[in-house]
This record gives sequence, C-alpha cells and structure tokens, in this order.
Amino acid sequence: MKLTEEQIFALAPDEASKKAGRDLASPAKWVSKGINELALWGECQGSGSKPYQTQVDLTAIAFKCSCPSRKFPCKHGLGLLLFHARQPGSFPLAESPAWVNDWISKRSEKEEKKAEKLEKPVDENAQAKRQQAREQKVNAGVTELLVWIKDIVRSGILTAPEKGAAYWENMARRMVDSQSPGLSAMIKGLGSTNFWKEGWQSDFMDRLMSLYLVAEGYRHLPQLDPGLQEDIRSTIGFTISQEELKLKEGVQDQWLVLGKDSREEGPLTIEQNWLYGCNTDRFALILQFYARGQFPIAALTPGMVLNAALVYFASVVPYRAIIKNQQGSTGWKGSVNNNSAGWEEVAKRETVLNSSLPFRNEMPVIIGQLTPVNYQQQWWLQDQHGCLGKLDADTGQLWKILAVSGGEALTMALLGKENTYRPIGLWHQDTYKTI
Amino acid sequence: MKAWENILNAAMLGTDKLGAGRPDFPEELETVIEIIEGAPGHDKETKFLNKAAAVFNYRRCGLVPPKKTGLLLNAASAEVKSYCSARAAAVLHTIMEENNPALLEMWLSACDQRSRLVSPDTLPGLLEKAAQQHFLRPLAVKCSGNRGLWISQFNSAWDYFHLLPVEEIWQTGKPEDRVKVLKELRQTAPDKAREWLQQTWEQENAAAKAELLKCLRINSIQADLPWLESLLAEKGQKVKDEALTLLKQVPGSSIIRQYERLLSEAVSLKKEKALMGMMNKTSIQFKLPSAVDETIFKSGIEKLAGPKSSFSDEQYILYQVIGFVPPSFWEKHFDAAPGQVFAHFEKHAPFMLPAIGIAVARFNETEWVPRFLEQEQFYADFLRMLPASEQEKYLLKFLRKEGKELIPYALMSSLEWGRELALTAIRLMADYPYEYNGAFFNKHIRLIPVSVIDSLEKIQPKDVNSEAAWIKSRTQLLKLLHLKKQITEAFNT
Repeated sequence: MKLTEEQIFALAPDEASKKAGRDLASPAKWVSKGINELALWGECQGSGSKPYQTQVDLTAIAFKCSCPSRKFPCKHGLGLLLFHARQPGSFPLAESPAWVNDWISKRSEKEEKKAEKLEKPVDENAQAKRQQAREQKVNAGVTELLVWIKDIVRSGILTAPEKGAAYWENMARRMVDSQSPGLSAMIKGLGSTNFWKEGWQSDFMDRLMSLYLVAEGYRHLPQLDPGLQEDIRSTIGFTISQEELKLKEGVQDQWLVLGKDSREEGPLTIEQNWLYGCNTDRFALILQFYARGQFPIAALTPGMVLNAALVYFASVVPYRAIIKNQQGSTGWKGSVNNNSAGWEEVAKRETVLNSSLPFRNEMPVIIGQLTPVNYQQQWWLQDQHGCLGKLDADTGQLWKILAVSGGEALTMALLGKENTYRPIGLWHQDTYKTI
Repeated sequence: MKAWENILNAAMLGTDKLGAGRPDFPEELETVIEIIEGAPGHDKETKFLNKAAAVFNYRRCGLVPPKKTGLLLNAASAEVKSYCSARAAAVLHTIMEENNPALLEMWLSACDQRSRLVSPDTLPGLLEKAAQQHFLRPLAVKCSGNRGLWISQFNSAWDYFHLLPVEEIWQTGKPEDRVKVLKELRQTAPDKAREWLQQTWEQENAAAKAELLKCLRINSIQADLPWLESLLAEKGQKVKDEALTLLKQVPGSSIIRQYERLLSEAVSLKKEKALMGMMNKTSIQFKLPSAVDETIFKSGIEKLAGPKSSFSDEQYILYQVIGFVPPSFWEKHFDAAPGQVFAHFEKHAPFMLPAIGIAVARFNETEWVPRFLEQEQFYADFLRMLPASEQEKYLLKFLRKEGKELIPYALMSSLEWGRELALTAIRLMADYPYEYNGAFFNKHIRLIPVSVIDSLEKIQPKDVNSEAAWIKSRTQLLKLLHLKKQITEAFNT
C-alpha cells in the first residue's frame, strides 16, 4: 500500500524521529533502493562504513533495519517510506535482494510456527487449577474493593481531592496482588480525576460507579448474560488467549483506521486503534501492548484501510477485536455512507449500548453533514436536523475543522459520550484526514 | 439532571451524614429504587451505591440532544483560484515543520505567482505563522483565498486580513504601523508624505517626531528644505539633529551652502607654468581660511584628525566637508567636466577621492559611479546605485580581495546571488563555521542559488579543526537548498 506523508508521520514514535526521517527522505542518502509488490527496501549511508539495510513489508506494514536504533520504526524506515511517498518514480521495480527475501520468508515462517504451537496439547487439569486459584484471589480482591468503595461513600467524596496519590496507589496495588489488573487501572483512573476542574464530582462519581458495577457484577457473575460475564471478566483483567480467539470466525471487511492513541503506563506502551468496517458498518478497537524497545504486532496508521478479518472479543457490545488475518492494506479514497446519521441516532445507539453494558468505554461514531456552529460562546457540531453535539476539541483541532469546513457540512469521525464529542478525523475531497 | 445532582450532593456529604429524607427520583426509576430500598440485608452504603448506579445508567440512556435553528454561519465564498498541488502542499508542510520563515516566504511567493491557494487544512498553521512573522502577512493573505478571509473572523490574531486604509492607519495606528505607512508613501509620493507629517507634527511627542522624521531620509527632495530648515528651531535635540542630518542630504540647504562656501575658499585648482614655461603644472591646494565659522563644527564636522590619522587636522576637516557637498559643486568650482574633476583629484589629491565617493553615494549622483569602480576602495553604497549585474561583479571583485568582511554587504542584496558569487562567499564562510552556522543559512537561504548544490561537497575549511562544524553547517545548507529546489519543482510541474 502507499501511505500518505501524514500517515507515515503517524507511525513515528516521537517528534525527533519524524524530523530525522524527513531529513532522510532525499535521494542523496540512499545508496540503493527498490520496490516490488511485497517489499520496499533501500540501503542508507549512515555514519558507519557499511550502509544500513532498511526494509518495509508492504503487505502488512512492518519494518526492519540493520541500524542499532531502539526506536521503532527507526528514522531510516520512516525516511524510506517518506522518500517513496514523495518520489515513487525513484524506486525501480525489481527482484528483492537476498537480505530482503530472508526477512520476508522468516516472517512467514514465524506465522507458521505460531500455528504449530497452537496445535500442541494443553494440560487441562493444571490449567483448571490455575484458573480456580486465580478466581479465589479475584473474589477476595473484589470483596476488599467493595468495602473500600463503601468507605468512600460513607465518609463522603468531599475529601477525595485531599487523599493524596498513596491512597489510590495502595488500593491499586492491592488489586494487582489479587490478580485484577483491570480493577487496578480503574482505581488509578479514579485517583487521576481532575479535582481542580469545576464539576469534578460528576466525573469522579462516573468512574466510581463503573468500578462499583464491575465489582458488584463479578459477585453476581453466574446470574448474568454470558456476554456480560465475559465483559466483566475482561474488564477485571482475565485474559483470553488471542491465538484461541483467532480460531473463531472473523468479520471480513475493509477496515479503515479512524484514529490512534498511544500512552505509556510504566514500562508498557498501550496503543488504541479505532477501526471502522466500511461494508459492515461496525466499529472495532484494536489494543496493542508492547514494552519499551519492542514493536507492536501491527503497524497501523490513521487513514489506512486493512483488508482483513477481525475477531471480536466476546461481549454484549462487541467492540474490542484482534486482527485474525490481513490480506493487504490500501489508502482511503472516497466518501463514507453515513450521511443520514445524526445526533438523535447517536443518542439512541448510546442508550441501547449503555443499557447493555453500563460501564463501557467511549466508542467512535461517524456522522455525516456536521457543521461547526457557535452557540453560547462554545463550538458545537450541528447535524442536518438542527441537533447539536458539543465539540470537545483543542485549539488546533478547532481551527482545522473550521478551515476545512469553511461553514459547509462535513462527515466526521468522533469519540465521546453523552453529548460531548472530540473529533478524530474527517472526510474532505474524498480523503480521510485525521485531526 | 436533578436526580444525578441529588446523588452527587449525597455522595459529597457521605451516607453517614445523610438525613432521613428521600430525594426525588424519575418516575421510570421508582420501581427500581423501591426494590433497592427494600432489599433485605443491605447496609445503607450498598443501597446508596445501587441507587447511584441506577441513576448513573439512567442519565446516560435516553439523552436528547439540544436542537436549535438559525445558528449556521455564513459559508466562505467559493474560491476563484485553484488549490496548490499535493506535491506543493507536501513541500509546504515540510517547510512549516522546519519552521523556516525565509523558505515559507519563498513558497508563498511561488504559490502567489502561480495564482494558487494553500489547501484548507494547512491554513490555520500558515495564518498562525503569519501572525508571528509580519513580513509574511501580505503573501499569506493572497494565498489563503476566501477561506482564509472567512476563518480570520474567528481569531483576533488573524485580523491582518482586514487592512485599514493607509490614511486611517496614519491617523490612528500604532507608532510602528505609522512609520511603515509613512515610509511607503515617501517612496511613491514624497511631497504627500511630508505634508502628512506636517499636518500632525504639533500633536506628536518628541520621540515620535524624531522617529517619523527619519522617514524623510527616503527620497529627500528640495521641496523639503523650507520645513526642514524651520525644524532647526525645534526644542528637542533629537529632532534638531535629525533635521540637520536630512538637510545635509539635500543640495541647496543652508548647511550645504555653508560647506560649499568654505570649500570655495579652501580648495583651489592651481595651474602654473613649469620647466621654463614649456609645461603646465596643475595642483589642488587645500588651505582653510584663517577664521572658520564655528557653526560648521556645530553641524558635526570634527576639528581634530586624531593621533593615528594620516590626515592633518586641516585636511581632515576638509575631507569631512567634501563628503557633504554634491560632486556637481566641483564641476562649477573647477570649471571642468566630471571626468576632469575626477582626474584632478585622482592625480593631485587621491587622499580626498574617497570623500568625493561618499558624496556621490549621499547625493545619488549615479553618473559619477563608473569612475570609482576601478578604484581600490570599496564603496558599499554604490551597490544600490548599480544595476544587478554590475552589483555582483563589483561585490565579487572585493569579496575575493578583502574576504569575509564583505559578506555583510553581499547579504544586503535583494536578489538571489549568482553561482560564482555564492560559491566565493560560501568558500569564505567555510572557514568560519561557527559564525556561518545552520541558523545563518536558515535566515539567508533566499540569496543562495540551488545551482551550487553539486559544488558544496567540495568546499572544505582551511583549518582541519573547523571541518566537523562546517560539515554540520553544510548539511543544513544542503537541506535548505533541496527544499528550495523542491519549491521550484513543485510549482513548475
């Protein structure tokens, strides 16, 4: 696939890599280069005597470079892609050299080995014992958590801002001890409420209620719908083997990457990718976790369209998914058929989803014919029926929306809840642009 | 929502302090609340949490978005010009990331020349850069089209789209804007500019008077004289000094006439017979009159040459005065054509020739310039008086001879350097890589032609220790030149 410059920059791990990659996107730096349907490669003269061998797997964007950088992708990978995006004519169509062939074939071997590994028998008794031991620990943790939540509401949340970081961290650690990392993250989120913001009480109670619903839900797990049981278990932190999940039937579609967000939690990078199935009209969240210095399994960038099958995790509101197999990727071209949806439809959909899964996270929406308007000294997005959704955008995003719109309606992808949404991308001149 | 507010208020107090009263709940929740309250074995905290969870979910379900009419903004007018190509937009994006105003100005200039517009998503970034860099504003406005005009109404920092009439700026604008307007007017209508200043003169404070008066240095004309002469009686010393400076630029002013009278008495061309009357001997005599008017010295002429000077005090006084007298004075005084005057000075008083050169530049007497071009002395002011091709030749000659000291004059050029001048200057720069670093090239990239790209690798500093620093500067220069090249290519394809 051919990525746009914007999409290539979205792959960069930091600003310095973007700048360095840009400097390498010129013919003077590349001793040799080439392209075929599988890969893009080049040899970049660095400070060493031998040029660095840089290669990009074009079927499922992946990088490899012989440079010693720990960043991923390195500046050479970004520079090579940028150079190709700017001057595709400079890359001769050729048979890939041996060092590229080796890497491409090793990647396919690795996939095969993974499949073989799955076929090995599992000791089910030992697995059941481990599962039972964990559930006991989680039960104990949930009981402790409910006592802690009751303590908070007994003494009142008025004093919550004064409690200090240790109060929240201690309880979060207790949840880690009880093998409930999901609950631990929710407690950290509760402690990170912006207590300086006016109306923090509502934000705090929203988070507390989600935590309470998950904990209380776990206590009544057998009485719940099987889908909801899975939601509660995964929110608490019970993992599901992705390899096993991949054995299930996937949803085949052209998946447009609407947006991407990365955050670091300790040594771990958590990457959220929001996808939209262009034919199935479904949304999906691809979460990737990787340690510093390691690489995500899939290099996803907003505006990229994956021709892939996704498998959703079991849920009453299927949303989180994994990529089962990817046949290739392209850039987005064209519009999206979502012109009839408006804020009322969004509100209805939210009602259905919230009533099924009250503690769910925000999901993207795509609304056509949205016009930015100013009302009561705030910016809103008005749909074609006159309904308003509050725009939660920083200054840069707001100006970009206004500049692209020019007062005309746009189709936009947004993330948010209730009546406040932040933009993640928009369609303009048959191109999807991130904001 | 009232029920949620009740929950928040109760949560703030805590269940320990809650009264016996039961807050109102929405009708749809009444049954659920009754079940929760009637649940056996539940403590008050559990009951509160269950009720709060029910209201929390109720609040998030069934939300009705607000509906309003008449809020739509007037849309931006359709564009008359086309947007720039994707390639040009990509180059612009890189230049904006580089944060290089000089390259940005070049890009905008190329875009304007091709009658193209910046794509809408790049507009906010561009308008922000132009808000910070005033010199980019006119081009930014031209390349932003109707969309730029439309969006500027929402951001006060981008109000430069709505330029006030110049006369209004002159009357009500900020001091720096007034100076700018007056300078621009002086270029095209010097009389009108002076009249504007005369009209507001009494209302200006002393500092503004001196600052505004400086604008009259542009296109000094005879018609300025009566008013400038009257300003010598002003109270403010700065104003008087500036008026005197201006008077020294206009032939026919009282001070220049005074200088001319002094020179008429002090300098004479003597023609004598030599070798028994067989040959004519010509010389220029310099002799100050016994009493020199003290006002001459009050006008800025120094009395003493200083211990290290090669001039006598008398010669030094005359040297200064000659520099303030139009060269045409000598045509009358010596009764000779300019060529003959030049030849007399060159032969009989070469030490005074630079003073004539200064006067040539001061009074803009361009017909005298060619006679000085072969001289060994460099006259920086001649650069603006020469046609572009001559400027470069003149600069190149002295750049080779005098080295890096001449680079600041080359930097004053308004046009891109030729390849030869650029390579000569860059070779000199390579020896001083800390002075001519990346920031220097960022600022002056407009002057350096793309044609030097292939030759840059061969340029090395004389001192090996400067090599690493020069490579860094050169790399930056190369990067900028490649971007400059991309600008041209993007708009030519």
